[in-house]
Amino acid sequence: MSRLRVVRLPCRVYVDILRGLPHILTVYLIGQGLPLAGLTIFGTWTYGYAGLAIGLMEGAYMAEIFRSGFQSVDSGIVEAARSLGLSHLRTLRLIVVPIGVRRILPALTGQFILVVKSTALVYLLGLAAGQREMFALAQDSAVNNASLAPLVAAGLLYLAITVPLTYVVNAWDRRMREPQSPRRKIRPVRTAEALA
Amino acid sequence: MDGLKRFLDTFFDLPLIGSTLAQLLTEGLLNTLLLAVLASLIGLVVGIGWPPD
Repeated sequence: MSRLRVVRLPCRVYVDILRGLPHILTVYLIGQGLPLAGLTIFGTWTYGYAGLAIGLMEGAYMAEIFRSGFQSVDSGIVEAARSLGLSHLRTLRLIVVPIGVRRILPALTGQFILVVKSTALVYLLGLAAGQREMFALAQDSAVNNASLAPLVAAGLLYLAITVPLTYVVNAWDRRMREPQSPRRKIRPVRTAEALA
Repeated sequence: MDGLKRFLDTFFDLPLIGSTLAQLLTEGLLNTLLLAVLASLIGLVVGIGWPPD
């Protein structure tokens, strides 16, 4: 979104690389690469490295979501705000961000569903007994019992988390596409309040 | 029919699914949600800070 090439280029490179790499490879690169390189920022806490790896991957996707949301705000609204005397920052804070964030909330919730599913990748980094998450527990149980039924159990729990969230996203999305009820009162905008 | 029975025995061993579900609910669910929230927070901070173009 920046007009400065020096700002725009690193952002573009980061988003392109993190979105282009397979998730499994990124988890290995960050989760095992950082400690190997001596950057033990989380000590032996595997969740820190996994959270950082998944967070950086999802951050790349979220950056695109934020960009599309903010750029979807009609330029006429922005120009109207500027013509009322609002500064660039104040226009962003009072106009662009509130409208943009409302538009991207369904997409962000959808991204959270992907994060929940990505948490299974922490299994790759090796977990202590007390640290295991759902997929790691199910995988260990599957090995111990020589059966794949525990993985089905884990799948059921993942579904119990993600399916209701999917319906929330869909309902949210539908509600935002509906025209506003004519009975809903719109609070008059006070120019002096906005300019204060 | 043998194939179907093998499939059901492998994937849908109900007592094993039940005992695993109990273990996942008491032990694994919290860790999964903790990791999801941690990763989402990092993703949000990075996503807001690094919007491309």
